[in-house]
Amino acid sequence: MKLKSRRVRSMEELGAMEDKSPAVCGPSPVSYAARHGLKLSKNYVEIMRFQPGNGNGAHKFVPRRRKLASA
Amino acid sequence: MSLRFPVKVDGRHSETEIDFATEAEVLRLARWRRPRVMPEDAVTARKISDAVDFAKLASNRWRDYQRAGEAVSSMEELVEAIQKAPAVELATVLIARPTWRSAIPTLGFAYLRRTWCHHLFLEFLATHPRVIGRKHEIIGWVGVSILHKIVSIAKDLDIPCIWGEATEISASWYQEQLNVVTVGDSFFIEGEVMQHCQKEMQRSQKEMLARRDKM
Repeated sequence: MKLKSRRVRSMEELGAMEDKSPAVCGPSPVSYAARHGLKLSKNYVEIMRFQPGNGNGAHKFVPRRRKLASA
Repeated sequence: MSLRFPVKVDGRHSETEIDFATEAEVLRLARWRRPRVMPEDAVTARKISDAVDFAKLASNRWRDYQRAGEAVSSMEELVEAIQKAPAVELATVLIARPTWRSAIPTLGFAYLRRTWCHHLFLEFLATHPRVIGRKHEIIGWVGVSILHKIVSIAKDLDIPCIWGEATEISASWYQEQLNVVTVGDSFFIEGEVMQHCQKEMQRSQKEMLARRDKM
């Protein structure tokens, strides 16, 4: 890997990238669990079902605990 | 080796203590929960879900290593284990604790493995759901401080390479933090990149100590 520049940046500069921070770094929990034969939590699987673009027709994220309006 | 690293809390400078997690702390990671009310923003909600499951997975994996006698909870244990068996593979968890009175006991964690050839593999790093949610306290710099701690461990143990996986979301962050031209699905902190990260870590330590002197 090649350095972009050798300038030693301050913590303020490094911290300014906070907005870009993924907050979680590593493989996706799905691939990690599959690789190591671990189980994903039921809540996670449930939430993943509601991620957009997964082809199940649900495009809006629905928090697990949000109560749906009764018909 | 420094235990304290800078963070920002509600715009003010503060410090976090980043150290090897005790067994109790690793077990507590499995109890991270999603907030009762999830953020409307789908990206933030996804980060929170990932963080909670990462914490569970890290806790489970660490316990697997512990059963095999290959998990460490302190720098002394790590050094001793390497001295006994130089090619041993070891798992450890680093925990970022707040040094102020906070409702969040663990600001973030990193799950690492010391590989047989004396490299560090960063399996994953995550911040607490409440840190991600930014609801009660706005806490910044946790991720970069954990990364600096890992760099400081590598420096102390003369470890030449830290590596890990990057996803589509995290690649740009690693690219910026490591100050490298490009990051694909993996990153390697070694050679000049390692030296550069160590210099930036040392500068952040100096800045933190200077602020402490002024107080």
